[in-house]
Amino acid sequence: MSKKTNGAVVVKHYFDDVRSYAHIAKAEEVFFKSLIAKKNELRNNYTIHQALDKAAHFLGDPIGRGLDIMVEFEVDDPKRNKRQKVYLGTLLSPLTSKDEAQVTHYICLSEEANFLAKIHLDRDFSLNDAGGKPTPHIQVGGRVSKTLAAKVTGEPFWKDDLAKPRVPSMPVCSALLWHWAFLEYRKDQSIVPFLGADWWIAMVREAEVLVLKPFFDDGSRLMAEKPASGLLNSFYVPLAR
Amino acid sequence: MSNILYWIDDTHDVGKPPSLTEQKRLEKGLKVSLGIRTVKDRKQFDELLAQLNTTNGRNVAGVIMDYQLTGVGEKGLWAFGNTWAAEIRAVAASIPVIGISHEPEKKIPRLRLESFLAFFPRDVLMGLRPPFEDISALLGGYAMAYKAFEKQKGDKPSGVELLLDLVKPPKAVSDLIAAAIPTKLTGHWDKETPHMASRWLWHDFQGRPGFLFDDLALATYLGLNLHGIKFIHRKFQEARYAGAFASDQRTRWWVSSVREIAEKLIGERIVGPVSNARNELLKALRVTKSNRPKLLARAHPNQSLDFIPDCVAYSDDEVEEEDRVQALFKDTRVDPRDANPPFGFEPRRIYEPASRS
Repeated sequence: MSKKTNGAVVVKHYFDDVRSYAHIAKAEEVFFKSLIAKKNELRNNYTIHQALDKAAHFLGDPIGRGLDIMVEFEVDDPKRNKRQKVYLGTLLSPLTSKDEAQVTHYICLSEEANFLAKIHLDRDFSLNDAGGKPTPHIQVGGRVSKTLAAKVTGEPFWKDDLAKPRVPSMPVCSALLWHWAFLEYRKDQSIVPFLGADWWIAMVREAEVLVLKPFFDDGSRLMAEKPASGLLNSFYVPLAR
Repeated sequence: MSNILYWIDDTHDVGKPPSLTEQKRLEKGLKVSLGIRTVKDRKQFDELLAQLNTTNGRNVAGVIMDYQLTGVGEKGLWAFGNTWAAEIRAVAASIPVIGISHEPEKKIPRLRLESFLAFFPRDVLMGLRPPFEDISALLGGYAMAYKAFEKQKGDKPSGVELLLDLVKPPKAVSDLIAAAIPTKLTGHWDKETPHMASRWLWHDFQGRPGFLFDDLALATYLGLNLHGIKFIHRKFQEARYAGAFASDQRTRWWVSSVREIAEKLIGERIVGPVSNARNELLKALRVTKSNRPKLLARAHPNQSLDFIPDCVAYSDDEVEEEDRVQALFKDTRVDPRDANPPFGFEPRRIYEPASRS
């Protein structure tokens, strides 16, 4: 058990919720619990069912168990007039005796099993990263998980050990990532049922309150209380206090 | 008058049904009157069926049924206890039927086993220490499931509500359990549904990893071995499963409740696997430093304390329940029987380090 994860962090930082694994796990727990209640309405997409199977295991102990899920949608690329696949993935790995906790959400596009694009959003939990890493951040490329590699068999065209650039970003969770992708592909038949459903909108609102509200509240507070710290600077460790 | 538990056997092998000593042992342990029926032919079974039909199964706790009934079928052929079990349910659905055989369970076709509520090897039931708690839990649990069925008027309460009332889950997981209940049990129940629901509760809900830990899984979750869990299990009583079919011989623990109890005992939140906090847990329970190592889980097979096991697995392809070990997840693979487990349940695993596969 690490000291810094036991509530032993005495100094209150801005964006503490963004950097709390328990907080992220809670947001995922709330989302997947709600989604499971709707599983019969999602039967057209078997990848969601597979994801919910894994989520059910995660929900037994959201703080202690990891989560590695990926869902798939077929969409149109109107500019290129081609069908593509969009993969939305969530990887949660809690702190173990050997490794730091990790949280990654990703979106990947493929065409005929070849990569078209991939970006991921990372949360980092190290409080003293000498390399100057913003958290949360968006990055192009990145590692290809086993789950994704099973679907997109082509070779990644990027260097998967590329360290930079990392772009500071607002935090996401699975609900927000999916919704973000849904808004991008709002006209596709596989997406329309979500955006038109009250229950989906309610889930997204709940995620926004859990994940985005504390983030923006802290951001406004920081700009008011510590304007000299700089908002962007504060995403980098060492953290603004 | 105590309830009757019928024991239906053939006459093929003299002395096969319980002896007087065994009968008394079973009657005392199960608090029933054992009605041994050694049937010579189908006619005798028909007479018993007629009697059960007339009384509608009143005062009958259940039936222990031999799986293979030699020479009592049509034209002196074999009869099978599983088909007779279905006939008993047809005349008196309130009677649970438990199968027994000298044949190992693995050798009996699975579909046939589904006609029995549960199955036990004959020698286990007739041995010196029969599984009284398990049999009582099965008979009592079935009676509860049947009462639930009788309570339903039309579609109210729904099958989901009936089952949730039977298992009494912690609030945190009741929605998840509701989603995991097989569709055929969720709505209207007919006379055969208590049997189906009971089998799900005993074999899946309590029998598979998912919502409940058994002792070895609980120990692994806490980073302890079975000796360790015996040492501290009283502190976790609040997490103990006490719903329908709960048995003292087959203790189960709510997965969703264990972390909170461990955190209360330690006095702080645990992020990550609870097993990482095993030393703090033992310290909080005042286990002396010198006594702690012998209570800690060790990963199969090298038993080093360098790694904390994070799953339970069968030690080999024989998948015997008694041969399960605490292992590192990375050294295991999914048991092929569970390649596609039901929603809410986890696949069982087999120990097989990557170098061996």
